[in-house]
Amino acid sequence: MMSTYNMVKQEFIKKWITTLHMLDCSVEHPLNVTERKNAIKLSSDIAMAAARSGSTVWSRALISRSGNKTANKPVARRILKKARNRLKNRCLTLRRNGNFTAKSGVRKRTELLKSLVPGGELIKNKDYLIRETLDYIVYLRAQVDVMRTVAAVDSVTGNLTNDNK
Amino acid sequence: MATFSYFQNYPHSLLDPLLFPTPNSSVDITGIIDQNILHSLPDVSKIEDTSVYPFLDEYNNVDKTESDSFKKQANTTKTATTGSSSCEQLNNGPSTTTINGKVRRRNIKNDSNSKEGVEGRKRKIQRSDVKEKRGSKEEPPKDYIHVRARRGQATDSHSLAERVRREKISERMRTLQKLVPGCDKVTGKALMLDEIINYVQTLQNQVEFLSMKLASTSPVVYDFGSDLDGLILTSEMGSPDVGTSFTNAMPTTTPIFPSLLDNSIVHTHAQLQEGGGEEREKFVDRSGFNDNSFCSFP
Repeated sequence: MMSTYNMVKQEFIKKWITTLHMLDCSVEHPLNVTERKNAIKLSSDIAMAAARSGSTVWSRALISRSGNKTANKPVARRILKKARNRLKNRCLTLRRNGNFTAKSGVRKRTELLKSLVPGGELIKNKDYLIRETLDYIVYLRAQVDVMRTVAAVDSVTGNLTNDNK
Repeated sequence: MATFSYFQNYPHSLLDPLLFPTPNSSVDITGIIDQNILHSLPDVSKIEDTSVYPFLDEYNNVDKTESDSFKKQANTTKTATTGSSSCEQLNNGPSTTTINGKVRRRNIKNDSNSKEGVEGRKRKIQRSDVKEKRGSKEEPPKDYIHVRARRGQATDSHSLAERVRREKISERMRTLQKLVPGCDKVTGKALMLDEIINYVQTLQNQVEFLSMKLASTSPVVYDFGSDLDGLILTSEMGSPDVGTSFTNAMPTTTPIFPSLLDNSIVHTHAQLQEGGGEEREKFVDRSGFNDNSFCSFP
């Protein structure tokens, strides 16, 4: 179990570095902290979904969602707006139609889970939703582990460079 | 132009935004994503292939041969059971539907269908195909799920289907229990879903927090992308020749890279090796990486 998990993390790291570079070229410097954070999060989301790169709903939904944020040319933005609206409308109608009178706690919770997992609203079958959630959790955990490690190294190197000054 | 041809074939796909990387777009994220993700786009409602989710097998120890072994047994037992079980079905049909409130109350329908042909214990997930397939095949195709009815249980196809579905869901729940920490003590779907939702929210919040932390604590001196790369690599590397492998892997190096190589990687790495031996061990243990295996970029 651990070996595939490590492979997941390695895959994620490779993709993350690549996406960071790509974003780096496309964004104007200097960035303030919020912009940096958004770029880091965006790149890591894209990397996570790309590392999965299978036929899971969540990875494709995440890519499409992230793809909206990277476009900064007017033509691309206009085209993306159309697709984005389509996706958004589906989600919105789903939310409007429920002031969902949840028949039981399970129903309410599955609705909530659908809103959490990217692309979850589009999955009708509860069985598939749970499968998607499982897969998503694995990759999410890998993302968190990698970021935590990097942040820890960051603090250590910060201390070391401060000491040397 | 594979992406454009794909768009014409699947106009309603979820990936529509991804398909419009015009030549003007600054970021082409199709570069990093395998082309498989664009070409293989199964319908959401028809995801039946369990190989899509490779991790589930590992976590679950699923024995896929079990379902295949039932194939032969189902064929041999069908003739024996149809005669004797017809009476049982009449009795068991109504009773099983009352026990589990979720099974639809189709008592009369169930009886009539069961008389015609519970020839296989075959069951496809999509209900619309049941009536067609029932009387037809002896050698079922591979995507059928074969269930053998146990003694004293209803053998009509609808309750079999329900049972299969319930078993799948419970199997998934078990896998989730292994993945989500602290889920063993919880029983019942609602509470389990609670735990899952909680966990997913926690992980997402952690990602937010960590990305904020990375954004704020990275030194402002370096360029945006490069400093993080240095950090990511130093957290993994076990060998001093990290610099060379890094430059080989990244053809699109910004001009700041030479300085990066001079300063951060080798320097901090050496320091990590000398002084922070303990911390480094902690990182390696935490990340669980094999030091040498990381150096190979595609």
